[in-house]
Amino acid sequence: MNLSRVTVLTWSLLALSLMAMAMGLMTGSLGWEWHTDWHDPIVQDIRLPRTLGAWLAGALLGLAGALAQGLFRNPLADPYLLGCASGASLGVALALAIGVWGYAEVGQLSFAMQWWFRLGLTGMAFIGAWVAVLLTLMLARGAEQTLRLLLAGVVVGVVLGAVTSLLTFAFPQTLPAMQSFLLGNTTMLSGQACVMMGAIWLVCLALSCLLSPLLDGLRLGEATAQSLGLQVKPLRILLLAVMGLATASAVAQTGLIAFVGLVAPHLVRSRFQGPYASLLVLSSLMGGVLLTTADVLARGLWAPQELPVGVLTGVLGGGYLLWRLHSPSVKAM
Amino acid sequence: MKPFAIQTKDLHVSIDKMQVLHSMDLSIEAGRWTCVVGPNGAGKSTLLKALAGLIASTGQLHIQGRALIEMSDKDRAKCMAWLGQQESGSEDLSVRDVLMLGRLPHQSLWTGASAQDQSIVQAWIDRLQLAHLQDRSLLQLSGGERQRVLLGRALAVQAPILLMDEPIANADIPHQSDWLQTVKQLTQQQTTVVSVLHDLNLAMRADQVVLVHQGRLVIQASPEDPLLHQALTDVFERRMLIHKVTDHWVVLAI
Repeated sequence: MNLSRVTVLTWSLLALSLMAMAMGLMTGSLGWEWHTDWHDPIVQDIRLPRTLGAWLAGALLGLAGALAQGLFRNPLADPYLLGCASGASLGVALALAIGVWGYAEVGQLSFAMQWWFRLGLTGMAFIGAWVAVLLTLMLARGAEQTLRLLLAGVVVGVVLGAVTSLLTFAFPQTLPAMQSFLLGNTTMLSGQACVMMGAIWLVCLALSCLLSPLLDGLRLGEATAQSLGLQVKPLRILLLAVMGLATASAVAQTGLIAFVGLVAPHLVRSRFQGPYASLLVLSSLMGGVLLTTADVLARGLWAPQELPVGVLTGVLGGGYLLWRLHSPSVKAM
Repeated sequence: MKPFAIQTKDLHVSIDKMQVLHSMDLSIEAGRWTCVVGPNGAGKSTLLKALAGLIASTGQLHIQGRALIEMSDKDRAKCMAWLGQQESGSEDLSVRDVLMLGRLPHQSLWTGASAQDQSIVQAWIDRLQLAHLQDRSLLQLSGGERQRVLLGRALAVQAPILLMDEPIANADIPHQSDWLQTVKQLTQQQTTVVSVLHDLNLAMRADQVVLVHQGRLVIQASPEDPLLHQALTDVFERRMLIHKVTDHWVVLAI
């Protein structure tokens, strides 16, 4: 019975994705364009990677959010729980600060500096996110105790956040670039970024679906999962790594996009309740739909002025959660 | 004499460097119902978890003649089903999905539920009278119904050994009676049942009673055994009476 529901939802989300993407291709700097020339280089080289990239980043965040909520057995868990966000921010702040400092100091790009820029903001964000996740896991002495893991995530977030603030304070020139990262930003997505995110998305989705019995078992508690023959400790570390990889790759490309990872699984669960394999796929598709739609709105609402997409996801996501809070079925959360 | 389903020798368990179970020698007969009793904090749940292989223990622990440490997680899970105390079913799983979780030990990562899994789950749904609830989520059930569903989850494993920690806490009399019936049927089908029970009146209905006090085994005996009655009275500070009423032993607080 549930199977048919999964199929219907999957196809609807795919159709919605295609519609949102088509709208993404038709939205230019001057607003909606009803007569889009599909061979226009602007459409092919700028709007296509941007729209596809937004979908992929959303899909990665939706997947990571569903994983987080399953692993922590907490409906309020989100992909940024392990310190990914603060780590990525610190990476970006560091890259920007070193760039500003190096330029002031040397006046020209040295060999090391060129290497630095090649690694780029994206790479630094990715590395920063991973360092933060590893730090969190180390502080929590592994993934055995969920509460300790959550606390370690908070500690890492606060401390790395403080360092980031210090850096931006010391190098105020980095503030505008920093802010664009913190708000989330889909303007810089390239075709290359899409290929990378697409490959990572496929790997993460396949791995998490394969390991999803652990999440199902964990719903009845850790001891029960263990008694069902699931190797809780190694599987949990693996799934945390998948979650970290998905989050880090999305964050590195688009900055800190708020709420997609939290809201996508919620939206799915309000329509469908069942095994995690389906929940993960649906949450991921839902994340893609949400971010593509937000991206279209960000470009179209105020055209030619473009809104940061993170602001929109924040407003929409916050509004949705507020509505859920006051809806009678809140217990189902 | 029947073969032993679970045998321990000099079993020790430490949690956070504190020894909580001391040198336990237990022999649990196959196809019978053994009940673990004792005061609060005696180590009953710890013992059950150790037997289930869910926490580390030292000493010998044999399940159906095989050393537990030599068994793979899957084999262990197929051999022993475990039902935890107040197993939280906080989530939005349907009753049918919860029972299907019991089939996990029989599935590999690559294959989902087989037709056989489906029919086994269906059989337990019918047998535990859960058919009218099967599409509801756990959140929508009463406490007693939820306990029945979680029992169904453990039964769906279809393991030869079933370990249950306080499976009928807060159940009303008809549900207690249903549970006793189920346990009787299981042992008739040669399933070994080990349960931790708070309620001594129910515990005295078991085939064997294991009395635990301060992490040590006090006595393992049949409910008829006067030595068990003496040990129970001692452990519970001589503040209880044991009487026989129409073939059943009844324990009263005084």
